[in-house]
Amino acid sequence: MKDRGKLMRDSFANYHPIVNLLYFTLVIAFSMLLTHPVAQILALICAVTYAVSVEGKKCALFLLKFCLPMVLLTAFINPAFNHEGATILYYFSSGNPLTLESILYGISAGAMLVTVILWFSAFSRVMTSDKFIYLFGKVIPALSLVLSMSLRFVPKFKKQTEIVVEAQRCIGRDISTGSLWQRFKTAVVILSIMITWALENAIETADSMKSRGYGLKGRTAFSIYRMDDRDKYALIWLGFCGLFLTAGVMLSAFGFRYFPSIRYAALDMTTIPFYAVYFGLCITPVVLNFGEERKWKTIYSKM
Amino acid sequence: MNNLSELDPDKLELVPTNGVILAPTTVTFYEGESVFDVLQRVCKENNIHLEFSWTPIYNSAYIEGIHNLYEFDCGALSGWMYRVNGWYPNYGCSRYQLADGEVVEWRFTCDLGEDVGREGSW
Repeated sequence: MKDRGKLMRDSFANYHPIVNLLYFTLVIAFSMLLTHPVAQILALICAVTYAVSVEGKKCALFLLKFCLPMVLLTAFINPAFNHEGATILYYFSSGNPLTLESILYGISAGAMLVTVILWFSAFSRVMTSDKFIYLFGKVIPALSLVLSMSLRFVPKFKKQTEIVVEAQRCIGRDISTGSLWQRFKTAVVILSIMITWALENAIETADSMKSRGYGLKGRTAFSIYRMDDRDKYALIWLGFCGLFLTAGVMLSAFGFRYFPSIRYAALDMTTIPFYAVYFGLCITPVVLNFGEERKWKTIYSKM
Repeated sequence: MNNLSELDPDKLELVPTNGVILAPTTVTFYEGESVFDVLQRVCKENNIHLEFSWTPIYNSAYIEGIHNLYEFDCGALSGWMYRVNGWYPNYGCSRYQLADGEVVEWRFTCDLGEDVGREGSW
């Protein structure tokens, strides 16, 4: 624990895969569905808190360097192409208007993009390929193998590239020295090695899985997952959130319209419960991690 | 106005009850100005929203939306058309050079002009 500093352990990731999957399906779906700024801000806060509490500094840096500019960029780009909206602020030199609504829509779209990216990065961190295979290996064996292979591909490719680069350096093909042309030549050689490796690796994996009888009838998958009480409670909670929020969407509690003029569902006693539940849903892993952390600390021997 | 049921519901409030966004006005224009130039100036003066895109092959502007009422807002055949002295020109609005005393109308059609009094075929 010491080397992880103040970072929390992601105990949410230790829940049953179906809990993880349901959680991410719900938050990603609702993040993309709800355009009400209050809901978006709640989701963004939760996604950031979850990511930073588990990944720490690296993630905070990513947010500042990548996500913040992205929101600003969409806020600038959207009005350049979208001139709809009732509040005209200014006319571009082309003659089309700059409208307040299109700027706000751009910010909203950028925030949604960042939120969804954060959810997906958490998804790929939590839903490891073994969980994925566990969940879908029986139902759709071929597709789940392909999916898990492609999800695994990027980190594996990165790692293998490092190895190949090191090996090439030992035989004098160093990409960090020499003239530009020489470096380029070395890089192309490495790229060609990597592509060959990737293709061969994919075929080998598929063959190896086949030779072990993957996807055959009657075979069981090794799994270390157990449906505990906590998983059942989590499932009930997530199911409740999903139904409640779907009802909220149907009752247009999250309604928000950007064009032609802004109209939205007011925050009052009838709609606040939906926002509260939405926040509760999004913050679930942080709360679980926090609770686990406290439990861990209280049972930790102080002798 | 007979096709309100097909209109995008978010845009209902935009449609004036009498169907007229800007009552007929007399505008001054300069020699050589096109219907598009006048439309753009009048919209700016009256603070009416207007979006267009320039179409090089027709050498003309295409009016996408006026007053936030856009093309396709009322079915696939809907959009803005212009009429000068009761005639719908079969070319773009930047190519029509106005003369003194001409009457320009911009009308929203839901059926490629059939419902706003366009005669003849293309």
